[in-house]
Amino acid sequence: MNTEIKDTEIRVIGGEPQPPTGGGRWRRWWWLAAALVLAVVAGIVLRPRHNAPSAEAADTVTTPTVDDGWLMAGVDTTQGGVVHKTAGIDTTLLHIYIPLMSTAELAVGALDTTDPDILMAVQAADLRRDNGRIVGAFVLAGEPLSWGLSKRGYCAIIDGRLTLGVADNSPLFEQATEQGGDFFRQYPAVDRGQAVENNPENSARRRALCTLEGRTCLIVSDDRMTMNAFAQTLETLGVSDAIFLVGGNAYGWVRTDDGTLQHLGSPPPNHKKFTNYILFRRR
Amino acid sequence: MKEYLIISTSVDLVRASADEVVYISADGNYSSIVFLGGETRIVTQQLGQLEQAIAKQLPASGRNFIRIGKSLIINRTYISYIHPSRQQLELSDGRTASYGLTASREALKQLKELIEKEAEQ
Repeated sequence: MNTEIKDTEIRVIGGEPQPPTGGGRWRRWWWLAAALVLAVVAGIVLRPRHNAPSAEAADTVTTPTVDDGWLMAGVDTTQGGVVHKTAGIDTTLLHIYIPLMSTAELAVGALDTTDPDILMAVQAADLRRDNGRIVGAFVLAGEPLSWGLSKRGYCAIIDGRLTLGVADNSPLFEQATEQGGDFFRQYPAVDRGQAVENNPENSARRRALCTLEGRTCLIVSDDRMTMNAFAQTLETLGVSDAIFLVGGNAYGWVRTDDGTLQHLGSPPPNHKKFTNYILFRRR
Repeated sequence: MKEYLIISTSVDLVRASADEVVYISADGNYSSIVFLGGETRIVTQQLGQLEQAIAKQLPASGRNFIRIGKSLIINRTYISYIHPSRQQLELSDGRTASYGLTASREALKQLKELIEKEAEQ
């Protein structure tokens, strides 16, 4: 079955193909079938590059509090890179960074900022001030580096799938250790569409790893905010799940389309042994 | 007879009654299946793989599903409103929820013609 389709086309599934426009219907169908065979032989990885950007990309929307389809409207999701969007909720400006065609992973220690395949990197789990060790459970490529529950939010990356959640005990910690995955703990921000309250009341520029319209994204506040105000803003935006990341002046970067780095925070003068990042690597 | 769409990966399995799937949207490597009542489940299959699964596993109800462009599969049972020039498509189960979607003008125009044509038959 040929699954190639343009954004200007429709197709009834489970029956004969029914392109609504006439002319060259069958010739095109056979051509597409031949193209599929060639694509399989050449490797599926090349297939997304065949998709031409569409001026009218179809997108779906379910969030009731923002304009429908605003997040990915007009974005060619077949190209790797980071989409930067902004959103205003009341008086709060949010920067939304959506990595495309990438896989997430954790890393510990200084990162190579010249690596062109790292599209985005931000500090993930907090470090203890007294001994510099990671706060809460942390698994790096199947290797547990830290244990314990200090924060109820978690992020697990297993078999390339990133999961955000809130739980005292998550089986994903064990799964990450068994399957070579990654796992870390952070303050929860949004749980199934509802903002989560946290105790710290200081203000800082906030960052969160979020699921918005089904996509994983990084959201950064333009101003200093309390954790609860930021979480509430994410809820209003329509975020379904989110955990905080290290905020304030913690270092991170986003690689722009021209390859230059947009820095978030400041590079630390000396990396601590357990300074850790969640990064999105180009597929 | 009730048909089920089964999406299985190395770690989990989703079993969805075909008539309870309202639409499926593409989210990069993932796809979001939206069920009656608004429950959403994200699976690690791309939309094209789900389209193939529908064609293969749902011999009777598969024709209820229509692929719209690169990002959307809808269950035509729940189409309630199409406005091509506004790029508006609404699905509704008539009871609990409606779902506003967008798609290209050309695709929605074709969808409208398809539904009109079938209504005449």
